[in-house]
Amino acid sequence: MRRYMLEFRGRWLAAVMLAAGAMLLPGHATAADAYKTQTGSPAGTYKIDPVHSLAQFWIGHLGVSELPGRFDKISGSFTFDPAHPENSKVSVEIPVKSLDTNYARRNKDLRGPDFFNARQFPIMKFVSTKLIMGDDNEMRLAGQLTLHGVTQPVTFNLRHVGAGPDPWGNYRSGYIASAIIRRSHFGMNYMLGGISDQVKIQLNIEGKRQ
Amino acid sequence: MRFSPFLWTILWQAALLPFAVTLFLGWSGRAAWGAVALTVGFSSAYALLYTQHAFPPTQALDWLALSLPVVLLLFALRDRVSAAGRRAWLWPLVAVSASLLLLLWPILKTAEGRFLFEAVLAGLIWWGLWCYLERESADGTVAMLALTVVACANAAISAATGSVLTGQLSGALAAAAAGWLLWHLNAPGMARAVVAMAMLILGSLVVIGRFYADTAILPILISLAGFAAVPLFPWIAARVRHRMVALCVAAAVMLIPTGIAVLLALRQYAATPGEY
Repeated sequence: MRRYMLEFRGRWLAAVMLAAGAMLLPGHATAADAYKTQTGSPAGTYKIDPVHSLAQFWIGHLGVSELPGRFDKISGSFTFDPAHPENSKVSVEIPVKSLDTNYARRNKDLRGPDFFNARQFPIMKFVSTKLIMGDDNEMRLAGQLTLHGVTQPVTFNLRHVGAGPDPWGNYRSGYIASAIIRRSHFGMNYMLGGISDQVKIQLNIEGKRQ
Repeated sequence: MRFSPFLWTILWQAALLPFAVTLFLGWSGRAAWGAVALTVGFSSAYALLYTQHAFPPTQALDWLALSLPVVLLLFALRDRVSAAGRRAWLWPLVAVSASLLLLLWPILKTAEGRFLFEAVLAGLIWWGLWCYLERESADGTVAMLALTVVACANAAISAATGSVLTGQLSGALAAAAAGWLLWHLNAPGMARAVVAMAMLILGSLVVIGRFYADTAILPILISLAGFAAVPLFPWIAARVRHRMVALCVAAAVMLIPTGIAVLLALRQYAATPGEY
């Protein structure tokens, strides 16, 4: 019995030493510092990666909550030139049909003629007109948002998250753009008493450099 | 359930207001005035419910603001200059063709074969029912009773399976038609213009609901069978002493297909779990 216990302890000790050795290998990091924001140059022209990008919105419901929704499909491109911000441009297209609010019946109502009228206006589009540089990674992006057949100027607060190489040899850069719009400015006036006019929108964009 | 101010507003806009306006304006016995009363009654609800008006029109529902006065004028004029029966099919054909083209124009460019087939079929049904109801409008009360019942059914079907807004507008049409009916229950008379206006509105709403909001097709088609009770009315009236009782029997017959249609739509609505 004693011999069996000694053998078991020896094997356990060996396993711990192996694990400790593996942790010392290059490339390994502890949980605390495993994820780091990449600080490469964001300059360049990028194609939006739809798998890592998303458009979300929050809208007031009956004055008691802010209901989230999202558009699952997004496409477009952006060019960022830090030295000459006036050369920077962004173009984003979102198919309205990809709307999802986690409730099938509401999705149908929202896509219908009461709100988005996706059959007639299938694409939502933003085209930038001006980029205003701010402190650190904060910027303001002005442009024209076309929604529900109406084009209106909208200014996004823009934050650059990071830029750098990915494990597959591409170069990526990502942003978070947020703004508050009024749906009535885009001709979406139905049920303003129960569903708020103000809508918070946020675009999480990741692009692959071309 | 507490009846909140929010629900009161919806009920007021979609039912009480069009009913009251049509009832108030519909006192005159002149047929053309009935059409004006119905149009104004419905328009009062349309103005409050559909708050996205654009000129020139961009969306299908925008066109109602233009087509209502134009068709009202044309059909009121027709009733003055043309006797019933002479090329009676032509006017509804022009109105239906023009309305269908205007309502579906924004989505025609992306249309596929099935869409075009459905659109043509919808136009033929719309035109056929319009001619049929005008022919049967010698006793306008029965035709309008059928239109009220079918519009009511379409309100439920559209709200349950398609668009809440077109459902509310259908409810407004039913309420306005009910306001007209109250003045004409005991006074059968020609009502071609009012039938024409009701058919224009109902057809437009059904087309918008189907092609823009994918309202379930089967309940719509079944509900239209409610119109089949119109030619039965003389037969019912011959066997029942009082006109009011005959009208009630006719309404009961109309409620069979429309009730089945509404039940089907509600079943489809209930198939999606959860509630607003």
